[in-house]
Amino acid sequence: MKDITHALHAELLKTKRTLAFWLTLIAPAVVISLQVAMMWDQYSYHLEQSKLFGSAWVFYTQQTLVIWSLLMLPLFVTLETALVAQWEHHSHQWKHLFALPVSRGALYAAKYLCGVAFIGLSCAVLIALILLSGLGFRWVFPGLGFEVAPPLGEMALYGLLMFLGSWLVIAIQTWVAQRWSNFAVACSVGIALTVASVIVIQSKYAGFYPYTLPALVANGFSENIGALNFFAEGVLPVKELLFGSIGGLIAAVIGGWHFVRRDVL
Amino acid sequence: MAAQLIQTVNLTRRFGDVLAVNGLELAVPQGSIYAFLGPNGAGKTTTIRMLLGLIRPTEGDVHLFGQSLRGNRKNILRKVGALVEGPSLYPHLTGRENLELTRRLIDATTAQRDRALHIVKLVDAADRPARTYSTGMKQRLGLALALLVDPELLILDEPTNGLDPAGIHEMRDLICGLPAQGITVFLSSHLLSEVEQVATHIGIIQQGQLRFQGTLDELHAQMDTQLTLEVDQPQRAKSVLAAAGWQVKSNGGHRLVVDANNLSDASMINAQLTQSGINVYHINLEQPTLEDMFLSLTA
Ligand SMILES: Nc1ncnc2c1ncn2[C@@H]1O[C@H](COP(=O)(O)OP(=O)(O)O)[C@@H](O)[C@H]1O
Ligand SMILES: [Mg+2]
Repeated sequence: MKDITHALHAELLKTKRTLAFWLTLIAPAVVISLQVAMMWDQYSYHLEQSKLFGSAWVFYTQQTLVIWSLLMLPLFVTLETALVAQWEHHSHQWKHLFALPVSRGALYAAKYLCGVAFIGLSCAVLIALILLSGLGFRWVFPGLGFEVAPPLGEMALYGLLMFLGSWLVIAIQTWVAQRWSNFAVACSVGIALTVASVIVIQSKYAGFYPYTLPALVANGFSENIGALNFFAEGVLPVKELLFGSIGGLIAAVIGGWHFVRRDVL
Repeated sequence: MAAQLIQTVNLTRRFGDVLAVNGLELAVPQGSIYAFLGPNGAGKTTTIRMLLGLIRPTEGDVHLFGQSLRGNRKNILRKVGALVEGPSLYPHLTGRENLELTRRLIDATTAQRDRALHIVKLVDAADRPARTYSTGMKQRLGLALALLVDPELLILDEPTNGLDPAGIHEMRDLICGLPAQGITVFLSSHLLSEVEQVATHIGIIQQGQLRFQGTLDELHAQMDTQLTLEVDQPQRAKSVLAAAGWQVKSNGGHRLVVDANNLSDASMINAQLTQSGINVYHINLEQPTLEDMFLSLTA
């Protein structure tokens, strides 16, 4: 346990001046910029849907999360875990790390948790930017419905659930990226499985497919395919949430168990 | 049996059909600088990876500090510093930050970190990104990483590989100073010339098998000195010496090569030839160099 704390402390230093760190800020900013730019085009559609949802804030949040959680998030996980792994592969760190008097499991766990922290940070940044841009809409689009107080608790909850639902994807991509030193392998796997999720999410197997879980958990497609805002119906996708989060921790343990037993060549 | 810091028993490793390391019985005494020599592909790195538990032996065992590596990995590695096949550095971090990372992992003190920088003479460059370092500086930073645990045993895989003569000299000086600090050094090289000045013990590996193991003196003692002669009647000289019990080689010319041990052998041979009426133009006792020995063992 002490080894994990030490390993995390070391990871923290490593993120200094890295692209992986800056991407956690840049990626959500790109999505929000797109959303803001689209608002001019979709003004009347927004007005209509906000009425349906009963809140401009809730609709705007949900719409942003659909884009983020279904496509951007799994791709972002792919990229972040691959970048984190490249630090190790590129500088041949594993032969150094595994020759240290430190639990190998702790070293692997730190890599996984580093990925989890990056994704958590990006989700938090996304929610914060939704809030900021929404507040901006008050001035740019008066009458769209952003004048009311934002439902902060609900927004934070969406972000948190989506984050929890992504732990399994992070575990899978961390293992792939650490197992194969080639950057292209991790990227191809992540991209292919994410693209497939766009199709899978429309099927009844959506809840069993790791790469759709963040979207399912954040948007509640599971109970009622195509219907946004399950919170309005008061349904929490517990199965998907557990599969994505606890399942992720279990997958990380299995991945680590396999990884520390490999020959370090 | 004297206490050996490294002891391997029938250490063997296969990669598919390739037998990279074959029944190795290393014995590295405490306080030695042990040079592990062999040409490229001989199995040095594979052996070192097994010593550190990075890869598993197909057969056999590794004992460090008298303990089996299996089951005592963490306890043993606390006393071992290692540099395997080039330094593991994060190029975007400074020299000090690279050390700081490992320091955090093993919970060493910042004083130990700065001491390691001092030993490898990188204090002035400590706050520059490692990507700006020369090959020699990177290698020294790698050595500092290995020294950070305050090791009793230092395992270095080709520490002078890729360095220019000045860098090699500097690395050699650093390594020479280590036994005085109570550190036993095990280092590999494919060049005898790079280690013969520093090594107290030598192991020579070829195609995965240990060809020689012992002190430099023992290696010298194994080497046969040769007497080179030039005479006017080589055929007769050859039969005279052969009759007297010497091992004689001749290439058919005026030159003869005789296995002899020392100068008194030389004068005895000279006397035997002149008594038989053979003129000796030239006589020379040759001590083969370690390099000749190394080459003949690994040819
Ligand atoms: N990962 C590997 N897969 C297959 N063969 C390997 C691997 N690593 C080393 N070998 C083989 O094992 C032998 C010894 O290699 P190595 O230990 O690297 O030699 P050295 O360090 O003495 O140059 C070589 O024949 C090499 O090709
Ligand atoms: Mg090698």
